[in-house]
This record gives sequence, structure tokens and C-alpha cells, in this order.
Amino acid sequence: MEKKKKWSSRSLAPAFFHNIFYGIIRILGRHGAYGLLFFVVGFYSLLPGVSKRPAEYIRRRFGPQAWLGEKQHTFLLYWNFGKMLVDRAVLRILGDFKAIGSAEDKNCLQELYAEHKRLILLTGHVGCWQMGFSYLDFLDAPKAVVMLMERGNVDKHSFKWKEITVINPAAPMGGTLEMLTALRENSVLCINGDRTMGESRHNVQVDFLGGKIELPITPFKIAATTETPVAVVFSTRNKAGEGIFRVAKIIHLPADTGKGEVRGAEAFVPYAQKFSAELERYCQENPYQFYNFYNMWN
Amino acid sequence: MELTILYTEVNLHTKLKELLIEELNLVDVSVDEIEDDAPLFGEGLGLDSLDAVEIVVLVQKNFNVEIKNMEEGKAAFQSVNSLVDFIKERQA
Repeated sequence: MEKKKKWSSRSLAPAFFHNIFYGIIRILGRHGAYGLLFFVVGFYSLLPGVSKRPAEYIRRRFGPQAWLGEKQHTFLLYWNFGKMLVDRAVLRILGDFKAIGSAEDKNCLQELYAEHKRLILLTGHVGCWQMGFSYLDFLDAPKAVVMLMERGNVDKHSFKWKEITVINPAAPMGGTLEMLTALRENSVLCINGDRTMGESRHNVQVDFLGGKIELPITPFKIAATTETPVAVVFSTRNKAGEGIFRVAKIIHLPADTGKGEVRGAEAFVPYAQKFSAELERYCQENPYQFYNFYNMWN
Repeated sequence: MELTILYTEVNLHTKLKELLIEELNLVDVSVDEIEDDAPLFGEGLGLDSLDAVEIVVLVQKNFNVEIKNMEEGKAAFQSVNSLVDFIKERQA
């Protein structure tokens, strides 16, 4: 039986390689780093262990591929991921990134926050999700993000927000009390909804790209118990140093979700499925900006 | 006068257990089966992180007491006894 490999937030490359990129960004800027990145991605894409990671996604999103086709898709996935990482480092080092969005989405989020005085933004590991949140400058609210911070990960994260609370889901109780506190303090709380952690009884199965994947119910459970609306949002990297922020869907969960006729985790399946449907739509529109490099269907 | 301060110590234990059973959907568990000093998480009742969310909310709704963070939660979540102590202390 094939052992299910757990996803890890750790970078593929050692700290030394990261520092080379940071140095090039300081000396040559963003495009100098892209130049080096091209060769690094080309090398990594040829490594069997690395190219195997997105293989199932490629098969489901693009259909069965010959060797060359699979290598091409693998390269493009890592190439886009790499450019996003370079942009993230540029933001941290040079403070340069621009996130844009529609006035309609801006009004939508402003109205939701004004009405509830708290908001959950549910997103996935796609596009330029960290940088995309800089678009939220117009929301005068404390901001918190749930993000796995593994020991030994040399990859540095960066947000444009001056003050941000990072909640580690690997903390005791999965960081759930800190999430509650953030919402009580009228925060905008950002959660990635596409990776499972902790107790499997709090995961549900949903349809995604022709198969079943597991998603966590934690964001939905917290939304229901705190009566907080959920905005499913995605950021697409559309060019060097620029991303488009978009509100894909608004989900309202009744406070008693999971306590009626359908009890427990199963009650959250319809909401997790709504998120999954939006994630799939995103993958259709932006096939090379999906960064879950493991077999989600396994 | 708030309803929440009308509980005596004995029925506070019982009320808390009833709420845990109802809100956490603890099927096949009765009030009598929950030991006052048994751990709520892990080997005791076997609760987990999402159950902690429920407990925080039910304690706030029913007893008007906030469990603000993991530091407070760590002390309060030891057992029914410790949760009762926490509630009484905050209501005092």
C-alpha cells in the first residue's frame, strides 16, 4: 500500500539558494531574479521526485500527457510558482507589489465588514494569495492570517500589511482559540481552505477536478459558531509585481450548522463543496497558478 | 439579575455536562458518565480543537464568561472541575 505523503510547507531549496535570490533582487532587481529562476526551475522540473509532485493535478487538469507534455506542464507550474516567490521576496526587500481589484468587490467586502464587524477570507494556495491581501488596505480592521510556520523552513513570507497577526495551525488546539480571539477583536481573518491538518474527523470529502479530495471544515465551523460571513477570495498574478484580487463567492453559515438533522462534519459538506467549486473554476481559468504540489486525490 | 449566576456549584457541573453533550454532539454519553476530574481532551472525553471552539462559545453564551486565548484555555480545559472553577472565578 502506498504511504500517503504529508504535505510540508518547507522549501525545496536550502537557505543558501534563497540568499542568492535575495542578493540578486537587491543588485539586479526583479527581472534579474526571474533570469536565474528560469534555469533553476528547468533543473528542478527534470528531477523525478519534484516533477512527480504535481503529476496528478496535471493529469486531472490537462488530461493524460506524454512525457514531453508532462514536463512542459510541470515546468510552467513551477515557473509560475517561482515567479510568485520572487515577487514575494521583492515585496519584502523592496516593498514593491501592486494588488488591484474591482470597485464592486471592494464595496462588497466593505459592506460585509461594516455589517458584521468581522470577516473570514477563505482562499487557497493559488495565484499570489499573500501579496494579494495587500489589496485590503481599504478595510480599516485588524488583520490576521492562519499560516503554517514549520521549524526549519527557510522560505520567508511577506505581507504588505504593517501589522498582522500570524496564527499557526500547528499550535495547541490548532490555533482555533486564537482565531476566535481575532474575530472577537473585529479582525479580518484569512484562512487557506485547501489543505487538511489535524483530526481527520474534521475533514470532509468534496468533488474536485473529477475526483474526491478532503477539505477541512475548520473555517466553516468557526464561521458558523461566531456567525461570521465567509468571503471566498482569490488573487491571480497577472504580471510582474502585480496581482488581481477577486471575490469569488460569499457564504453565510447558519449558527446551528451541524446541530440540526445533519450533525457533525457532514453538515459542512455543502459549504466545503462551494469552496471547492470556486477553486476548480480558478484552476480552469488559471491552470498554472495552483500550488498544491502533492496528490490531493490520494 | 442575570440567569447565569443562579447556578449552584452542583448544578453548574450538571448544566455544563449537559451543554457539552448537546453542543458537542457526544452521542452515547450521559451526564453521569462524565467524571468531574476526567480530562476533556485526549484520553478523557477525547475532545479536540474544534470542540474547543464549541466550548469557548457555549461558555460565553451560557455563563457570560470569555476564554480569551490558549493560556486561559489550557487551564480551563483540564476537566469539568477546572472549567467550573474558571467560570466561577470569572463570574465572581
